[in-house]
Amino acid sequence: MKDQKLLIVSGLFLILFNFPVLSIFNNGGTINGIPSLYLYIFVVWVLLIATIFRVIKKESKENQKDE
Amino acid sequence: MNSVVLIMVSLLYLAFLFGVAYWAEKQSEKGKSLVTNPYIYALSLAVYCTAWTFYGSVGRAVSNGIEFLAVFVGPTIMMPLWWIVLRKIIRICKVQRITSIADFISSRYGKSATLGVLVTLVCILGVLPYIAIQLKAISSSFLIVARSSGDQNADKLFWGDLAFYIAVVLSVFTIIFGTRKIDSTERHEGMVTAIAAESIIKLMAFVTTGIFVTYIIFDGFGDIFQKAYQIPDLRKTFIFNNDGDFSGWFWHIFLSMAAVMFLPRQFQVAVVENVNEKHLNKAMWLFPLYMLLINIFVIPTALGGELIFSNHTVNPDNYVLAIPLKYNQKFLTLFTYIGGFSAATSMIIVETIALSVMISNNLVMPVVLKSKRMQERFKGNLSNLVNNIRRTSIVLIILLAYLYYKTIAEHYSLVSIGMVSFTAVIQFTPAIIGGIFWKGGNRKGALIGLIVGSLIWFFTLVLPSMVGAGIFPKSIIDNGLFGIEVLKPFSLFGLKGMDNVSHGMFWSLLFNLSCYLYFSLNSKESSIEHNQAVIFVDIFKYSEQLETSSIWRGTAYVADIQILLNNFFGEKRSDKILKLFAQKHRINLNSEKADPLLVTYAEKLLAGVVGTASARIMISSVSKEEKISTEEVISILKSSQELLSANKSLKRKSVELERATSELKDANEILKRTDKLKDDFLSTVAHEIRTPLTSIRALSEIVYDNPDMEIEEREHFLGTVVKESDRLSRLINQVLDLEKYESGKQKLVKEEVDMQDIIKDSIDTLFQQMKEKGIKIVFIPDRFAPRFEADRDKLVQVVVNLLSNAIKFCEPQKGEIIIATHYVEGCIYTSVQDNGVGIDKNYQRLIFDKFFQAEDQTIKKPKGSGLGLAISKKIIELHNGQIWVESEVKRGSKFTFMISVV
Repeated sequence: MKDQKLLIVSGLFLILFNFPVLSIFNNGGTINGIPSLYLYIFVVWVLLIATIFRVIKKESKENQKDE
Repeated sequence: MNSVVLIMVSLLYLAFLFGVAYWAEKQSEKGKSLVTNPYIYALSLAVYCTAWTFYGSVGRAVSNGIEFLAVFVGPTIMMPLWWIVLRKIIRICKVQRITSIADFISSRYGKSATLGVLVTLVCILGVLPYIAIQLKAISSSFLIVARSSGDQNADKLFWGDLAFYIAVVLSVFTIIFGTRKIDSTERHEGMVTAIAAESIIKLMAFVTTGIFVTYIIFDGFGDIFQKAYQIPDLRKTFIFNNDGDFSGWFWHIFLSMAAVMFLPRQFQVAVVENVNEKHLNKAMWLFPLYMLLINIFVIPTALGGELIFSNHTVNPDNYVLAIPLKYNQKFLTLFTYIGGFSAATSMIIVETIALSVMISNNLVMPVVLKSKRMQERFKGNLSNLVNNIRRTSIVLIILLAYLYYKTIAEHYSLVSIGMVSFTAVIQFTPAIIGGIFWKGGNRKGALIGLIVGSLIWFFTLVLPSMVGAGIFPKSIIDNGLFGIEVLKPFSLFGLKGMDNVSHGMFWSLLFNLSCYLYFSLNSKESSIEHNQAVIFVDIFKYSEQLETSSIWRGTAYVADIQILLNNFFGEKRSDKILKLFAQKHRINLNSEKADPLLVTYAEKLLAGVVGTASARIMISSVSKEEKISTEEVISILKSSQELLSANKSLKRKSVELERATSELKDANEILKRTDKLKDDFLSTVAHEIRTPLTSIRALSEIVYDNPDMEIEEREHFLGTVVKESDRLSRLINQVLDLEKYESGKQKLVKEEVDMQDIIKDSIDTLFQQMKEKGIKIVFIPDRFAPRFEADRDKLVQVVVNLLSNAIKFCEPQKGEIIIATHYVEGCIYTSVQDNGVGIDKNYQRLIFDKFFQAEDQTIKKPKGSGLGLAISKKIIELHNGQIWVESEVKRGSKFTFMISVV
């Protein structure tokens, strides 16, 4: 289960981090003064780390229950 | 800052590293190993961030904008897959005692020495320039800081060149912590701890500088971006400008996904130095977090540098140092310098250790071991030989890197050389990933794929850099190799529109993968290749069995094996190791011929020291091996697996058996008890029947013997006989009744009833009896009690029974019975109270048992069968109700039953 969840996370973020999704934010605009592409990449990056963290926490809790 | 001060600080820093490493090794000897900590593991992975990250990212951000982030985003996307890919590699390496990436590939493809050599060469060629740029980073950062204090002759301070001395000092450090002891696990706890410490320092240094630039010189992110936005050249870096940027971004992500595992230094810290697979859980989010933190300030620093040095007098690679210098922040400059120094040194140390292991185990040792002459020469001294080879190779690698730096690297920026190294190691991807998930991949495919891929890599990425240094003519780039148009290094087969790295990677990997697949599918593999393939792909299935089963067959002698081990571990230690192993697996060491298990174990131990290929050469030099087919291997592994699972199911069965036994015991207990109850019951019934029977018989005899008896007397006797017969038949009826209830055959005939009616009927039945005995009866009905479903006759039986008991135990003329119903919260309570003899507290619960009175002779002799209450209880229970008694001796009793009507 853990394998599959992590595989999905990886695949999903590979898409979020690439063309064409990336091109949506490649408009040269700024959000709060910060270029949107730059901001988007860092936000998705933080999301990815948080998602990995959550999947691992949840799985390790479930493992403990099994034991 | 004076260059002498700078040198002192650098040396102090190295001394600090020595201290950390030394301390960590001492702790480990005390049994308080630091590397069992997952945080140390995660931090050591940050050796990925080199001087290239520290200085080069800023330079790259200036020219290409956000593109530099791809090499950090890629590993982050890869991290979740580490649980699937890297955990498998770690397990394989542990079980097979693999200590380098060359060994891994060689071992997977039939312990092929050729593949080991090839991988080692690719690693050296690919990584050497990478080490060179670390040296370059150190020496140029030194010069920038030294020159700023007016020390214009800093580079001439030494005889020759500063970088040379740095190289020498680092060699010494690496030798001390990389080759101290020969061990079959090849772990370096001191080195890992020092690397983790370096990771913290470089992160702190870079973030501090970033904060200084962003928040002290400028007014936060918004301010920098806003100012940069005004300059068209900088505004361009905010976005991807064409499709090529998007594809470049993708290929760089792809490239770094593989590089973060297969760069020799990453393989070293992530796989070889891993002590516990579970550390991956922490590393999977901590390492990306580290990369995120160290990159947050890269773009602000790059843009800030561009804004500050708008006249382009400073190389963007040096902004990190140049900015604090310009603002005269001496301490910050020094801190940043140390940060960059730590990034460079950590990379050099780990990379050279990893390469030196490959060189000794995959390049030199196979040659030494194959030659009889060399073997004679180093007999008994092989462990020293291995160590010396490693030391020599460390020095050689660092010196070669220095030479490269002197001849070529000075012409290139930091980042492009790093990417060339990445592209070199990505050539291992088909062989490794294919090797651990696909049993069909074989030696020929891996070998040809790797050769073709590396050649294309060399042609598209390395050759142009040599052209730049003047080694090859420039015409190759302009007109193609031998003047052939389609063979231009930067647009091979006419492919244009990609950056050099993506272009080189695309072609090399494509050809590599195609060859790997084609030749794997179209060539036969040897049995040992197939055996290893099975072990690698199904490692999670077999890793337990691989410890306890041997997949080797042949003849070898214990003495020979012992001598081999003595060579590397010394007589004492190898003796101890062998004895421990023999004890654990019950092997007789005194027999002449060696157990196959022992041979396998010895090979694994040796593999840890000299690599799988060399270990195999050594073992086969002292043994006569027989071929063993894959079917046999699988059956060996399977049978030991079956044994394992059989064992488990046996255990499970015995637990089940135990449980069944205890259940049986309980059942038996219950049976015994009921049996005894039955016996008691029978004897009581017999007794109860005998009493009336005896009197009937006696009276009948008297009447029979005395035909001239007075008519009155006779009537009296006969009357008694009739009464006793009645009693007898009542008793038998009740016994039959009770039996029905107990066996569950008694069914209720339910209809709607009214409790008040039932009580009235019961009183009517017994009215005559009460009147005769002069007993008063009071009935207190509850008019609100609802009608409910019940068996009318049975309930009448219960009430009659309770009433007649009350009548029985009341004194004539003084007796008073109160019968009342009461409806509370869905339950009807019916109580029968008398002022008779009462029941002792001890017996209040027992009176509902069968024949209670009969058993207890101290209480008044029964005036009934003794089954009435038992039957009443059964009836009430059948109605899902309860019956109980409250009583005090000589004050009377109160029987109550409750039936739920909801």
